[in-house]
Amino acid sequence: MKKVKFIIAVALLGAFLVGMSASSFALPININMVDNYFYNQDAAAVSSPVAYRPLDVLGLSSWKLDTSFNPVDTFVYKEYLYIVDKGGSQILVIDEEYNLVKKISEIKDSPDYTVPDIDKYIYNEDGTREEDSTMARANKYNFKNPEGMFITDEGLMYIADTENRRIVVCDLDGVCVRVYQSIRIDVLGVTFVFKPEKIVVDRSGTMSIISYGVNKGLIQIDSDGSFQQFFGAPATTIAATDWIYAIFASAESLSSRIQSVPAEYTSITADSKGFIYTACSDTSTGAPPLQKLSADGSNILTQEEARYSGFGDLQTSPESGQTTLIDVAVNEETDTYTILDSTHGRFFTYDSSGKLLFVGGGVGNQYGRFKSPTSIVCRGDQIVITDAGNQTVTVYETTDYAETVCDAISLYKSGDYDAAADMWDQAIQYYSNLYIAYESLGNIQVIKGRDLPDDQVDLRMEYYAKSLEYFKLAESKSGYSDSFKELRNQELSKYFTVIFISFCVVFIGIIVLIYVRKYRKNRAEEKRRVG
Amino acid sequence: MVKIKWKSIGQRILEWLLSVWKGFVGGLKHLPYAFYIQVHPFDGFFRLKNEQSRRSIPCAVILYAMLAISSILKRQLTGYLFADTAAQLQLNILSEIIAALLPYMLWVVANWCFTSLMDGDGKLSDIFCATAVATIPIMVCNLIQIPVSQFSSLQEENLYVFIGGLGIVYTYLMMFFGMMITHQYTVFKSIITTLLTIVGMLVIAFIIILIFFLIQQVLGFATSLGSEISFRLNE
Repeated sequence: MKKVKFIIAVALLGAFLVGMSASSFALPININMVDNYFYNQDAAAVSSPVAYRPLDVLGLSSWKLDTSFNPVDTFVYKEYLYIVDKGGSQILVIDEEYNLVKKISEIKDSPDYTVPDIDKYIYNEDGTREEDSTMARANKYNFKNPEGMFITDEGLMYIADTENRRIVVCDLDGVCVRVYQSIRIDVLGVTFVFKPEKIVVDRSGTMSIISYGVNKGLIQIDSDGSFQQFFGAPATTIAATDWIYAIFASAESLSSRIQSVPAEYTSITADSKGFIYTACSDTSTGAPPLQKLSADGSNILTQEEARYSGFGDLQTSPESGQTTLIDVAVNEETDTYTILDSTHGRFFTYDSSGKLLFVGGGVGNQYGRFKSPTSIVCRGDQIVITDAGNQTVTVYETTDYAETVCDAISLYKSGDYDAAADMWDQAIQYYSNLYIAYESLGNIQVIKGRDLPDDQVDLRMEYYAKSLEYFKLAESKSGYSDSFKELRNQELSKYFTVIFISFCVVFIGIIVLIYVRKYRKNRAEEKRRVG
Repeated sequence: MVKIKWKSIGQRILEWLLSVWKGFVGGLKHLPYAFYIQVHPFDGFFRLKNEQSRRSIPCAVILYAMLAISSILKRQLTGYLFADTAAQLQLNILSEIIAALLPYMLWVVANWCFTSLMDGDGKLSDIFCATAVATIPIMVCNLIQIPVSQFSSLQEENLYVFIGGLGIVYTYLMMFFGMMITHQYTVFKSIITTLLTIVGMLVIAFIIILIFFLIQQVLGFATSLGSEISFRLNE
């Protein structure tokens, strides 16, 4: 009797401990669970947990800058954040704690390279050249309204010195290594003025540049400074109404109309694999707002796996205006990219298959909102956005919710499916309408089932059956269909003999019936003839 | 004081119910012939019109009811992959019946209107019965689609779509032949009549909508008038 009591006591204690450990896994509470949205599987805006929380807003006072501060581009290299200050014509170097380390406002001659004089000439149609009065006071050791920069893996800083019409290559201390200027492109005529805006450099030193007034794509210049080619020109489409108009309109009225020319890119970003993301804010001529250019200049960004295509806000009213894509940032760790919408001051994070994950930001004067955002960059888990209107640099950090989702995605990508499933379960605790989670969980079940050896068919079918539930929750008919087909074919092969035999029986029965009827008919006719 | 003859009223209701039942049973008797017409349309429609024993109005009503029931069944029982699952949750049987039958009723009326002007041979009841027979392919295909949708994956969607399309095409052909034979028209005249009938259907639909709209307006006016008067009286 005592033994029994002891066993009961131990069992109760054990149960209590298990219960304790289960309840100690309490939900991490997200305070900012309100005031954010997300486009669900039907592309409808639904409220969702906050994914990005403003960590810090920095600006004139925190870094003691002039009021001319006008951040237009950012770049992250190693532990430092570089900000291009167009107004102050300088590069700000910011450390991990967001302290201003130094300002690079002038370049120095290196022992074996002196900075050449600035090309101050503009060319006329007839080939003659004259000095540009606006360039008279240009100093070759200073920047003038630079708008873009890029740092290669070797630590070479490429600065698009826009108003000085040159690209300066220097090391991280400002010691100049090379200057690319007076770049002539025959196709664009003699009057072309090279004003680089944004720049990306690949491993071989080939620069891809957005220049003012060039709508043929990115200008590619190789490391000797000679023009190579235009790269990835945005496509144009002609509206049907314009096409009909062009048939009937006279030559004069046609020429007086604004021609539908390709749009200019707004911004470019390169990822570590060498793909170039282009953002285009003018999509009226049919240019894709966002592209991921492969080495041959074709767009490899698809949203085929996503439920809907389109970037930024999907349902916009004419008053609020459409999404204007102004910059892209790539997060290498989670394989996501974030786009910045200057109309609404929001940024949207997509996974590599083009599914919307998070929305953040917004327009306004509140803490962490923007007036006219100019550029975005990912710095680890943080997102840094510069705002020319408020003259601020805003740092956003991911909330626990967003971190969970990102972890789940990267775990899934790395093939750790059990851990990914746990993460997705946790993400569902935050946000039970997260269709991406259910879809991914369904895929995990399918993969687990598929990886099983062939002798464990029953277990495999169990996995498939479980995936059906997840796909139903995700409203993923294509995923459901695939699992359903596997299950059905399995069932069919199980009962194949029964089905086959019954088919045969029915078939033979029908034939016999037909013959019997014919035979009876013939008999009846014979009888009638005889009778 | 008029004395109500309860007994005779009850008797009449019973008689009426009995006649409905008899009509139903009689209609069932004609169903096999309706299916026979599907494979022998020319001969079948001719005899459907000219031999009264081949058809009855109850039979046509049964066929229309079967069409409505089959379309409701299809809506509710289609497999997850092919169904509008959100719509399945809220079923309004009346509106489903109207949606299933209204086009055919419009066709019957509009066709009768035009063919009586274009010396067609058919009466309204002839057209009613012929159209009922012509809807059988859609009804059958609806019923076939239900199990097919349960057992197909999205890769086999073509089969599902094909069955549905087959039913629709077959029905439209049957309606065309039915009209041609019922009214003793040539092919060319049938085509003209079909086009006119479609126009007539649109006109009728327009008038129906107009009437509904007007009724709504009148009712709105009456209610606002009433509330206005009651306000004034309460002052």
